[in-house]
Amino acid sequence: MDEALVQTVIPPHLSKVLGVESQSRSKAEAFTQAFLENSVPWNTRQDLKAMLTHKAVILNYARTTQDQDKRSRKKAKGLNAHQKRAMKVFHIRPEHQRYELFLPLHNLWRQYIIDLCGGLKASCNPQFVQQKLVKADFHGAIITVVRSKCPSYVGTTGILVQEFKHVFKIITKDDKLKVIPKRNSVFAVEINGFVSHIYGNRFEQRAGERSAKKFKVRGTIDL
Amino acid sequence: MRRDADKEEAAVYQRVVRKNGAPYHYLKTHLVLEDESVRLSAVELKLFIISGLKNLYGEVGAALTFDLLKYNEDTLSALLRVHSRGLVKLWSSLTLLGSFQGQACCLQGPAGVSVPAGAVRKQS
Amino acid sequence: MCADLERIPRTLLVSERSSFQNQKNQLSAHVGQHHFNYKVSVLLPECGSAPPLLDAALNGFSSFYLIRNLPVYMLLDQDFLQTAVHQGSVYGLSFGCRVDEDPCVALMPNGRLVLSLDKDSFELLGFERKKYRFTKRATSRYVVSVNFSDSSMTPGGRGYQRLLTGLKTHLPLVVDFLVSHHPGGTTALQPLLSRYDWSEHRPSVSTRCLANLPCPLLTSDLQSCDPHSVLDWLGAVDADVSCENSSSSFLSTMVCPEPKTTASSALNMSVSGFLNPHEIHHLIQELRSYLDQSQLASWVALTVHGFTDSPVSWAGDERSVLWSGNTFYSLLLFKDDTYQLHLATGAHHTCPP
Repeated sequence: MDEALVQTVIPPHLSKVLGVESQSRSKAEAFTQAFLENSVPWNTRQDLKAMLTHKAVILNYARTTQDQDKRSRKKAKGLNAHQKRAMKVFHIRPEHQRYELFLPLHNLWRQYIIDLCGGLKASCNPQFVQQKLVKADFHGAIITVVRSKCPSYVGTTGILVQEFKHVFKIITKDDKLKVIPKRNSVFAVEINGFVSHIYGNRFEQRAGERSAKKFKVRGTIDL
Repeated sequence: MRRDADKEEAAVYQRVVRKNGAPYHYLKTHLVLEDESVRLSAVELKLFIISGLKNLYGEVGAALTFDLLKYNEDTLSALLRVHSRGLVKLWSSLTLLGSFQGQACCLQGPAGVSVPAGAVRKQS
Repeated sequence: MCADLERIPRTLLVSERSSFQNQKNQLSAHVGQHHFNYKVSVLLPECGSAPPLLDAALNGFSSFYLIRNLPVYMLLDQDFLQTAVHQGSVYGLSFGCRVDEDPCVALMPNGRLVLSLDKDSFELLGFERKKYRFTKRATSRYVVSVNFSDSSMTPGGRGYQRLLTGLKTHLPLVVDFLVSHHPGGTTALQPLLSRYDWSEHRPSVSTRCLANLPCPLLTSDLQSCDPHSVLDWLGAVDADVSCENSSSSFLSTMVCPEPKTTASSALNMSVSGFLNPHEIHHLIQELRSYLDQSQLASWVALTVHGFTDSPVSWAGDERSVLWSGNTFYSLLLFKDDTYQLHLATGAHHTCPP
């Protein structure tokens, strides 16, 4: 549309129909300017000039395709057993082998078990407690060897520090780290008056795997 | 199996070791009946044991000779003597004897020894 | 199948012939090493009434004590060890415990304590066991043997503490215990007697007179008469079993071994209880002097029986009851100062020394 058309005077026969009066050229320009200024938002009116003087510099963001492929293929791999042994990840240093250091762990464990069994009261059903304990984690429990085919293990008591597939590592009150094989031994765990006996022969799984394992009900268990 | 080993140190001293040479074994046993007032004579008891042998081992088993050395009618306890080769047969048939004249019974505590004096003693 | 049915349980008979003149005779060693004696029976042929000295010897056996419900850890009590075990000789045996079923305890005069346990009790106790000699047959008994004269078993030693903890907390065994002390009386056993319920017992003596007894002809030569038949006959006399049967008799065909004579009278005396080897030794000396003085008798027989439920046999060797478990020995004394000694054990025993 031609700009000239916008700025023409309204024909006289239409001005009567519309009920408007056309103004003179100078007044119309002033009115248009003022109307535009009112319509535009306030803050942009201020920064208008600043925005126009700024020049945005857009950097090139896209990476090369080779690096992207590599990242998508690489997953987080753990250490293998050789590396673990070399790095001694599970080794407890002698200065850390103190009984008092593990007492807070034991208290944590007690809390965990009490929460797991929904508050261990005297009226609790032992079957229910037992089912929960079978899937529970025992790190931090105070365990005692009650029966064993090897007589020298009987009577050893301490806090369980590490549980492996075939072995318990416990720390005794004399600050000695003892390694007790699970096979052919019976362990006792005591919480709030509930004494639970663990038959080591049936317990030879890693702690993590045990939570998913189903235990069959067997008659009598002999060492 | 019989093996003799001789050690002679002086003319007067002599030592002989005999292994598995005992010809007889002795069994001390005690009959327990359901009806405690029933009494048996020695002959009846021997017939009863022979019938047990016959049940388990047949005619040949029943022909196994054993002696009823001593029998107490009041307590129904008996001392038996049998050849060592027949000990297993006799002991097993005593264990499996279950009924006497229709009532349940058992022959209790057969204790086998190789000398009779050892069989009759009890602890004080 | 047939071989199994005709299997003979293993028996062992050691016959020794020697003389009291021989310096190397081991009679006193044999008598002394048979620690736990239940019954002693004496057969005197051609004798109508009990000779006074022998009667006195038989009645002179010292009394023994039965302690009820004794916790076994009390046998490790320091006072008891000092007064009884290390001074004089103490003999102790658990009473009423069957050796193939229950835990059994034996305390020997050389300071050795033997515990015979089943599998469960042993696994609870936590004390190492003695190595078994009979490894061919896996028996189900576990024997724990400790010697109080070892350095580790002195009060305060490592082994002593471990056994004490084991018997106090892990496996609190309580048994009825027969105990006797030589030479002392109640004073040596005071640490135990003062704390628990006990009763004193005298060995019981019985005498039987037999008339017209068929006896085998016995000489001191081992080959003259088969020892098995002689022992059978001796046992039959002791058990009051008649040996006068014909071979066609239905009930019993037991006869006296040939060659035989008939003794017009014989005396059978026995004493039973918890008997001391020292006193048995004294009795043997009395029998010797009686035989020297007697004109009619040419031999005298003495039989000593052990306990069925004792976990040890000669010299503390292990013992178990499977088939025929009694240990006993028979001594035949002859006029010329010679003797025949027959030592018998059952299956699974070591040969007597």
